[in-house]
Amino acid sequence: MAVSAHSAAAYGPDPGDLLLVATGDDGALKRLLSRWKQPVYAAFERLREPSAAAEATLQTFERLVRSAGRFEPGASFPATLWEHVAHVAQELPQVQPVSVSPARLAESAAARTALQRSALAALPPAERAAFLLTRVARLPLATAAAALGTSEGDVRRRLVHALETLRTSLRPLLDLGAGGADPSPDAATTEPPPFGDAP
Amino acid sequence: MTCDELRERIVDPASAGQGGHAPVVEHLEGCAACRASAREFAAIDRLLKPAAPPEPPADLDARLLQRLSAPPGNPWTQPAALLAAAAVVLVLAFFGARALRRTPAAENPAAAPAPEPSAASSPRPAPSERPPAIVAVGSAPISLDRPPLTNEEKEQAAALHQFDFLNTFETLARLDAFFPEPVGPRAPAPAPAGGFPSRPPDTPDGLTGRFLDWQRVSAKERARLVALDAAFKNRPEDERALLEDRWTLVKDFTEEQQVGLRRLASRLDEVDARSHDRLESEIRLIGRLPMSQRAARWRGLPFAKPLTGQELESAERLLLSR
Repeated sequence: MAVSAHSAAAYGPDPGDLLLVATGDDGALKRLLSRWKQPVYAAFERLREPSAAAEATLQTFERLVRSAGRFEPGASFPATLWEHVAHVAQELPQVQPVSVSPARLAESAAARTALQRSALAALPPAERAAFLLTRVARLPLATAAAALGTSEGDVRRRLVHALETLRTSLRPLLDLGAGGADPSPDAATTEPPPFGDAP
Repeated sequence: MTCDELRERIVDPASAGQGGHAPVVEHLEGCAACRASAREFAAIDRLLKPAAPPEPPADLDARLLQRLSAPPGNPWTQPAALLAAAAVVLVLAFFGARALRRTPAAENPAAAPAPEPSAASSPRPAPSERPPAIVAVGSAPISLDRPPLTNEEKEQAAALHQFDFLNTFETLARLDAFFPEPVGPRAPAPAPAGGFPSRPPDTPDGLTGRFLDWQRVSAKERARLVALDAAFKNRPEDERALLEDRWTLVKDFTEEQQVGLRRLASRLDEVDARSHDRLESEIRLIGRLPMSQRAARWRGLPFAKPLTGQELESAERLLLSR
């Protein structure tokens, strides 16, 4: 499909730039990167150490670029991008949560971060991807379900399993009070999702 | 509403209230298990929220462009070459298998090594989709999976100061202006009871944590940390004491503030020597003012005007920590 900068702009900044990327437009790629690399990297950075998060981000954008030619102009850009994020997240090797003593957790931010990352990386791939998209990247459930190629109900079930697993694996941190348990029943219902259609 | 239904509703913050809060609240009032779940789901959310949005490495764009522009002449990216390579592998495997059948081990199955899982039996992702064994930011590769440490590696790891300290002490040495005394022999800091917090681990828990950390560090990163540790140990004792004393002030700074300190040190490096001496005196004077006046005076310095918010705040916290 021949796409000019003028016709691509009619689809909105993200879909338009992705269509231009398919034509080899480096400028469009840089614009996409400037808008989206931070949220993608931030999602992976909760899962892996910075160098591995950067590598996962690179893999995501590489996939996005290599599949740009198949992007349908009317399709949702966030769902397309986060679909690649989900694929990369699911392909990361599943690890065992690290075991760290409460004393070390209390004194070392690095130890707390290592435990959090390993707990997320230890989730089964499908639950890990659902958790990453909804709880870390804060995608609306519908966008996350589209990116994961499944129903909203299935995403909800994956999330419940993931959170129940994390209650166990993050127990030392929860007991430490690092999360600061909130007694309000509505505590989980207040935060707006920031990455719905644009960062 | 069942417990499963409730949990599936509260896991999505945006839609938990759809259909009204009343059934959710009613269930929570009567179900201690779901109350605990709701509390801890929210706590996990807060736990995983970073203090500051993490920024991708500065060279990410360049690395992506480089990766995408892999030379088209690279034979390993050409389908024909891949087919040829696969054919070579098959031929080698065929003759290798024939050769193995002639070995004594083949005649004595008990002595033969266990067969490797067949490549054909497990789907193998395309090379570009496989997670790499080694990944890197800039020039610092990090190994993802490493074998257990040898005793020699454990000894090496156990002798090092805290990694955060090693990554910071050179910055602290460049921030003389923000401390009452310059790094040097003039005012050695007394060691606190129990030693400085940057000392190598000396408890079983500390050592276990250190070994876990060391296992995840690549050979290159290990070499860098060992070199930093050696550089620190080569400094005169007085300087070491002062640097460790400074570390006690900044070790609880957030990652964002630590980055601010590094940037601040770079800004100071850019100032010419004469202006630097004057600036150092001004900042030291600010450090002697009452706490309530320090921030305003600091922000009023011409040097501070072009600084970013991050740099300003890091310096401010430093000035107020003294």
